[in-house]
Amino acid sequence: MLPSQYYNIIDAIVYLIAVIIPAYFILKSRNSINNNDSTHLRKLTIILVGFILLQVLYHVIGTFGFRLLAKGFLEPLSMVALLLFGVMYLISTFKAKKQQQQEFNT
Amino acid sequence: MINIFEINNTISTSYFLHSMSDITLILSFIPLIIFVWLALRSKSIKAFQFQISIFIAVYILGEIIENNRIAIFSTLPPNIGSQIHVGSAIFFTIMMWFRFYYAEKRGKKMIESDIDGYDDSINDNKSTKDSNNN
Repeated sequence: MLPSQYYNIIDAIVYLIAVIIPAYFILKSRNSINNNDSTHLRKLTIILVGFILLQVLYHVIGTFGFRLLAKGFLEPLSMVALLLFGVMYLISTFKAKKQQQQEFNT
Repeated sequence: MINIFEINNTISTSYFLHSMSDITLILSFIPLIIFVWLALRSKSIKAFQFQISIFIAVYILGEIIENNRIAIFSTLPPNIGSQIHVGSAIFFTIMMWFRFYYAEKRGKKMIESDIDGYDDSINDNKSTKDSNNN
């Protein structure tokens, strides 16, 4: 086994440990009251879980030697998920700020 | 005998992988810029934005070293890029678990708003307004 494959396994395991927290929050928020804030936070968490799971898949596929699929498709895809998370986070920050500004004015 | 088709295939594959790694780098720089900007606005190292921007920065560093795109990094020992990737993954996991632990302990949100300080200033302004009206 190559050292890079070992690193891929370690990466996959570490990301799997990380995904437990946001996945737990998604499951927990399913039963909670649905307001606008919690729905948005849930969407953000789902995107974060998507990013982590894509990283897990990328490292697992990389371990088996499918470099083209892993590096050429799954890694950029996981970065798209991270980009989406960043954009959504930015939007939610602006929305919250706007809402509070309106509350202050009224 | 050399198989020309195989060589061409290998060259095109490596070219494709190089271009995809460039795309990955560009894609990862955008969230880094977003989170660094948000972290600068929040002005706190405890903020989620700051911590995730560190994770992305370390990830990008690992990616650059792994791809051997900068000559200075070619002197580094092999697999250092992968090791940095592992480091960023461990940092991300520790960050998630610590945030969860402290959120549970203090009963706070795991991802705080960028406008937490802003909330306080609004409340202060509101209270001054009320006192002035009275």
